[in-house]
Formats: sequence, structure tokens, C-alpha cells
Amino acid sequence: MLAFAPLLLALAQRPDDPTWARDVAPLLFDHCVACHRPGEVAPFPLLTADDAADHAEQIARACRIRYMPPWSAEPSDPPFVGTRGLTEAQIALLERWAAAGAPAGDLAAAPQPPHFTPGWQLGEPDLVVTMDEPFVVPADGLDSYRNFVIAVPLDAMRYVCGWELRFDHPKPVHHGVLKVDPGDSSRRLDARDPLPGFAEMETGEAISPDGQFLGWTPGRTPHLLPDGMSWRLRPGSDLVLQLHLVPTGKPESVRATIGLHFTSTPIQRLPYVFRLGSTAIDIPAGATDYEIVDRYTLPVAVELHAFVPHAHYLARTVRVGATFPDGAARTLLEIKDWDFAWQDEYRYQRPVALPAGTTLDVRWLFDNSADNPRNPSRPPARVRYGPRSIEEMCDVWIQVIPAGRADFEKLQPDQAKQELALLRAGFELELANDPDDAEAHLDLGQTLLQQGDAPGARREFARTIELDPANARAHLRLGSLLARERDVASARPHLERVVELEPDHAGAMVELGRLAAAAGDFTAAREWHARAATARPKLFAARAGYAILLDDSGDDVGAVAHYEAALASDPDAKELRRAYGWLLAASPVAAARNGEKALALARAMLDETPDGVRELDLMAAAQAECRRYKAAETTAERALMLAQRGDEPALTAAIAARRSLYAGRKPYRQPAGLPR
Amino acid sequence: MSAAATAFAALALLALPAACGAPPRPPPTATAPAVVVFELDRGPVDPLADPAARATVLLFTRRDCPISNRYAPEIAHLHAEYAPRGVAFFLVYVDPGQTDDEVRAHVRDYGYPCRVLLDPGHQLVALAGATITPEAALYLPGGRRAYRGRIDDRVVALDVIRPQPTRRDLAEAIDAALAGRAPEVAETPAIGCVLGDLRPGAPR
Repeated sequence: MLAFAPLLLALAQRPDDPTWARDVAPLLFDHCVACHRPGEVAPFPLLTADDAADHAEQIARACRIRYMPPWSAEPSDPPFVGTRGLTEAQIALLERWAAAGAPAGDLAAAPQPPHFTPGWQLGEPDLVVTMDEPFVVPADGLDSYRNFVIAVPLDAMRYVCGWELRFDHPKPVHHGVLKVDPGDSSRRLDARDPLPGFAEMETGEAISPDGQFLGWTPGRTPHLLPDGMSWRLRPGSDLVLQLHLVPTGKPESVRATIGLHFTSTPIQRLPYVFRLGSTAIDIPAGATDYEIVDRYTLPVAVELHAFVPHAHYLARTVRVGATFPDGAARTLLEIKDWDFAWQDEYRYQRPVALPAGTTLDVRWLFDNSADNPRNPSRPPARVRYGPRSIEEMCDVWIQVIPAGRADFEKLQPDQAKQELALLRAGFELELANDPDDAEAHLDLGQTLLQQGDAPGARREFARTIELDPANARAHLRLGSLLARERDVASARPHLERVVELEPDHAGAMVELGRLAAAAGDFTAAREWHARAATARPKLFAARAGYAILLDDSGDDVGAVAHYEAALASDPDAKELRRAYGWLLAASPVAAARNGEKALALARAMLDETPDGVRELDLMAAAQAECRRYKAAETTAERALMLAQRGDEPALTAAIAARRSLYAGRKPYRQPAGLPR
Repeated sequence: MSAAATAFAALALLALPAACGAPPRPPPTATAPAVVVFELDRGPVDPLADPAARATVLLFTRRDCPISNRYAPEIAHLHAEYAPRGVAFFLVYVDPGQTDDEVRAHVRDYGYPCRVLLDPGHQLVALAGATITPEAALYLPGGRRAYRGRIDDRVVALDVIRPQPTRRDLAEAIDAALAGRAPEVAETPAIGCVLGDLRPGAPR
């Protein structure tokens, strides 16, 4: 009886019915099989006629409601990279095929499924790192966010031009974001959480590096950044991989492996990332059209590259628009049915030029009523800003590239001002709702400090400590602020308390070392710096602090190794490079000097800043150390000429004095460090 | 009083002795047509003919339906809640193209505690009128169907999942059956994977 079934179906089929071989397979191959194949995130494969027939009506229904292929944004011009979605005609075809009984058609004439490169898509990575241990996603429960801290075994800074993410079991992973933590805040959060990684959407002090969004969504093809674009990864930094995990019904063990690709080309085009949105969210229970609007007028012309919108369950729609200086307006991004489950990055295939004076605006709408089925609270409850999924967020992160360095440096402070105002409004709302929220006082203090209000910051940090005496971050911030204000006596106990609370806190040790040195206690200073360098040997601040202390106290030979280690962690640290250059060119200790190395360092710095007075000054000293006195004199002459245009009489006088030395065929020597 | 309500009133009376410990004996007129299917690792069985069951739940599922799979923990909860109270649970695998090993592995991976039926010929599917996985059918002693539809209302549409259900329809129907009442709602739409995409194979 079974043998007759296909025959019966074949008889019922009309010649113009779509078939898998002719009509459906090309659609599935183009739009579905990147995920719907064995080993990938989708729940079933759609590679063969049988695979497709076993889900025919399901496919038609999922496409009709535009649940599949997953893509939330309205069509845009220019289109977004990786845009998915079917036309009305394609969906109608799938429906007719399913209604006709999913005929296979002439299998011999069917197209071949696309070839997928097994393993790494970008080729063999330069560095592969893996989560220490797998994380088990529980069988049941809500979506969760989890952050995994992954150490990178690097001895020198690298420019990363591509990355790829692979999972042993990808099914529960809905999307991922990679960030970089330059310090150890993420490790600390991880240490506090008994399971692998740490929960929730906050990632400590981890950031999207060098203006790059590092997002991953299932089925998206990884790509290398264009030449001259990359992000820096320094020794001692951690990668922080945030995964949005969705239970599948059985416990799923997830372990991610990251492949990194390096380039030797330094960054030539630096994107800038900022957000529009708000942290001052307070949605009454039952509200159906709660609105958040934010706007920003660009002070410089930019290329607009990408958007990453982020909100939780209550958001219904988001729209990003632009109003040009001539008054013309257009929609840039619109999502009419926001779905927390499918977050994505929307990157233009070609960037959009926005002239200076363009106003970008963002509008979110939220539905906190019982009629919003995604509402996690029943009955609806008042919802405020926060990173937990029962709280709300409403950001649109925007990636732009200004035309050049000058524009970048104009955009950055202008945008930072707006961002600080945004943060401050949020923290002030939090404190209006809960005046005893210790963390909110700490955050407000940090924001005030960045806004230049040091007394306000001191007040807020002190309030945090009053409410939560064991808050190490509050002690660190207050201690560092007092140290900056040279109030050593008040600063020290706060910093000592940090080390008492967190015995391997290298940052606090460096501050204590500096305080001790400033107070003239070099024995204590050395001890603190040595402890910091031992606790975090690859942390820039730990090695740099020790190098400067040894240099200042006359142990120039001892300083060399720490300068080298610190500059391996961050070769772009200008001040430290210059200090090391002077030590190499002009140390009073012969064993510490290295003329050739000083020359190379000065040359590299001059490449970046061709007419830098300080760079030329250093170059002249290096040339003199190599006994090239004539060249040294010429270089110093040029430095002097440029210095005279500026307003730095002390520097000008010093350069003039050095030039006279070179004219007399003598190298310059720094004054000997005090023997301490 | 409608005919159905009269029937339930009669059943309610019949259910009373069960509460006192004696299994009710269904009157011959209420007997459903016997459907014998294959139980995994056991053999042929008529799932609706267990005289000890105060109610019987059929849960239609397939291995590659993500919505069915996400219900596995909820099915385990229902089993833990109601099996001790005399409710029989059968998981019904409807895909004709699967091996016993595949089903066994799936049952183990998802931690299903219930008995497992193989329905490649869709005999139980036809009897229950199931069209979706996951879909539940609740039978009273004697084979009368008291409820058919979703397990709960957390799946609003394929792309809209509630964080928590607001109605546990199957649990409410079982409660009603155990109390000898008609369920408030006897039929609900199930949302999930289209069962009809699988053509029935040979019965086993």
C-alpha cells in the first residue's frame, strides 16, 4: 500500500505545480541551508527533497509570517550585508508547492547543494583560543545571557583583521558579541560566579575594541576587515564572549572556539562607535506606547557604516532616521516587529555619506501591557532601565568613520559630552527612585568625574562607601581621585583597602606605588610596583608603572625589561615610548643605553608625527648617541625652530642647550637618577 | 443540558469509585475502537485500554521539531505531577522514517520519563485528530476524548513565545478529568510543527 503513495501523489500533481527540483531547491539553497544543514544551528536539515518535503507546510507557514528566514529590518538603500528574506512571489511559490503535496519533480535536473567549506571559513587562523570549560545550558527556562572570559596568549600587541567563532554544539546559541577587556574586571566578575562565565548582559569594563562591532549571528559568513582596518589586541587583555543562549529542551553543553587573524598593517581607518538611546527608562505597568526619543547632530561629515539596535522584551518598534542640513529626511533603519530573540548587526553594503550638520534620530516604542505576549511580567509590572532581561534597554549603536584624524578628534569629545549627559540622566533617575543605591552613586560619581566635576565625584564615591563599606571599586575610584589631587594621606587608606579586599588588584598596587614614590618612600614604591608586576605580568599599567619608577630612581638597567614588557602590551603608548627612548639615548648609565634601538624608536614615532617637536628632540639625542653629531645638530635645529613657534619656553631652552652639545660633538646625558 | 455535558455528568459519577481506590469499569458503549500500536522496547499495546489509568494523555511529538523539544521539561513536570495520581502518559513519535535507536536516544537526551509509542502509520494521529507537534490528547477511561490541543499557551505564534504560560491548558483538563468535571475548554489550537508534512508509513 505504501508503494502506491508516491504514484497517487504524482497523479494528483498538475504540470504547473512547483517542484522541489526546479523551484524550491534553489530558494532553500540560497536562503536556508547555511543554517539548515547538519552540525549547524537550525533544528533540521533542508538539503534534500525528502528533508524539504518532511517540513513543506511548516516552511510555507514560517516564511509567510516572515519568521524565517530570520531578518527583522525593513528593506534599506543601500541594502544591509547579509539581508535575508523572501519576496512575496517566492513565499507564494512555497505555499503552492506545499499545497500540491511537496512534489520532488525531476531529481536528476535538481541543482547541486552549495559547497560549504568545512571548518574555518577564513582559512587557518593565526591564533585559536577556546573557552576553559564548556557551559551547560539548562534544558528549561528563559533566554539567558552569559559572558565567557577567554585569556589570549600573546607576547606582543597584534592587529586583528578577522575573527571566527565555532561551537561544538551551536543549537542553543542565538547570537554572540565579542569584546575585549583591557584589565581584569571581567575576570573578577567571572570569579564571583560559581559556573563557567558570568551571567547577564553587563560585561564589566570590556569594550568593543577600536570602534569595531564584533557580532556573530547564526548563518552569517565571517569576513576579513578591509586593508588598513583592524582592532588591537594587547597581551594581558582578555576576550569576553557574550552569548545569548536559548534552552532547547535538553541540557546542552556549549564550548566556543575563536579563531583570530592578524595583519601587520597598522590601523589607518579608525571607526567611531556611539549610541543614541537612553538609560532613563521607567515604563509604567500597562503602558502601551511608551516612547524613547534621542537625537544627535554630527559636528563633522562621516561615512555611516552600521547599526546595532538593542532592547529587551517590551520593545515593539525602532526607527533610526536622518535629517540632512538641507532639511531633507530619510529613514535609515526600521524594525516594525522587534524580537529580542533575533538581534543582529545591520551593516550597509556601501557606506552612506552624512554631511556635517546631519541630525540622527532614534525612536523606540514599548508595550508593557498584558497584550504584549512577550511581556515577562504577568500582571505587567513597572519596568526600569537595566541589563537584566526583565529590565529594559533602548540603544542603537552606530558605527561611523570620520574623514580623517582631525574630524575624528572633533567628533569624539562632542559625542562623549552627549554620552555623559545620557548616562547622568539615567543614574539620576535611578537615585531618584532609590536614593540608597550604592552602585548608582558610584556610577554617577564616575560620570561627574568625566564631566569635570571632581567635588561631585568625591561626594558620590564617599556615599557609595558609606552605603557599602566593602565596595572595592568605590575605594579604588575615590583613592585614585584623591591621589590625583595629591591628597596622599586621604588616598592611601582607600587604596590599601582595595588590596585588602582584592589581594591581586594590580591597579591599586600601581597607584600605591606612585603614592609612595611621591612621598619619597622608594622602598615601599618598589615593593608595590614589584607586587603589581608579579600579579599581572602582562598588564600594561603594572609594567609601565614599574619601569617609570625604576627609571626615576636611577635603576635604568632594571627599568629596561619592564619598558620592553609594557610596550609589548601596548606599543602605541606614546608617553612611555618617549620615556624609554630617552633612557636608551641618554641614560647616564652606559649599560642601559642602546643608540640603535633609540634611533628605531624615534624613527617610528616621527613616522606618526612627522613634525613633532618632542619626537625630533628625541631623534637628535638618539643620533648623537650613535655619534652622528652633524645629523643630530640638524635635527635639533629643526626641533628648535618648531619649538619657537609654540609656547613652551622651558622646552625651547632645553633643546637649544642640547643643540650646543651636539655642535661640540658631545651626546646628551640625562641627569643621574637619585640613588634611592 | 447539552448531550456532551450529560455525558460528562455520567462520567463524573463513574469516576467516583476511582477516588475510593477501585478502578472504574467503563460501560461497553463508551469503548473507543481499539488502536494497537507498537510501544518502544515492549511490543504491541492499546494505550487507551489500561484499566488502571484514571486518564490517559497522548503527546504527539517528532524529534526534529524544536517547539516539541522545548516542551520536554514541561512534559516531565506534568508527568511528575499527575502520574502518581493515576494518569498514564504516552509520548507518540509520529515520524515514519526513524529507527528505534534514534527514538531511544531522543528519549534519553531529553529526559522523557513517560512510555513511548511509535505511530509511523498515524493511527493514533487519526484517532486523536492531531495536526501539530507538540499536541496533546486527553482520554478518559473508556476511550472518550476530553481534551485536544496545546500543552499550554506559551507559544503564541512560531515567532512569539511567552516567557511563561498564562494558561496550562492540558494540566487544567487533567485536573477537570480527575475531578470528574468537563474541562473548561475541550479543544485549543496547538502551535508548532505541521504533522501533516510527514506522510504516514506502514503501521508497525
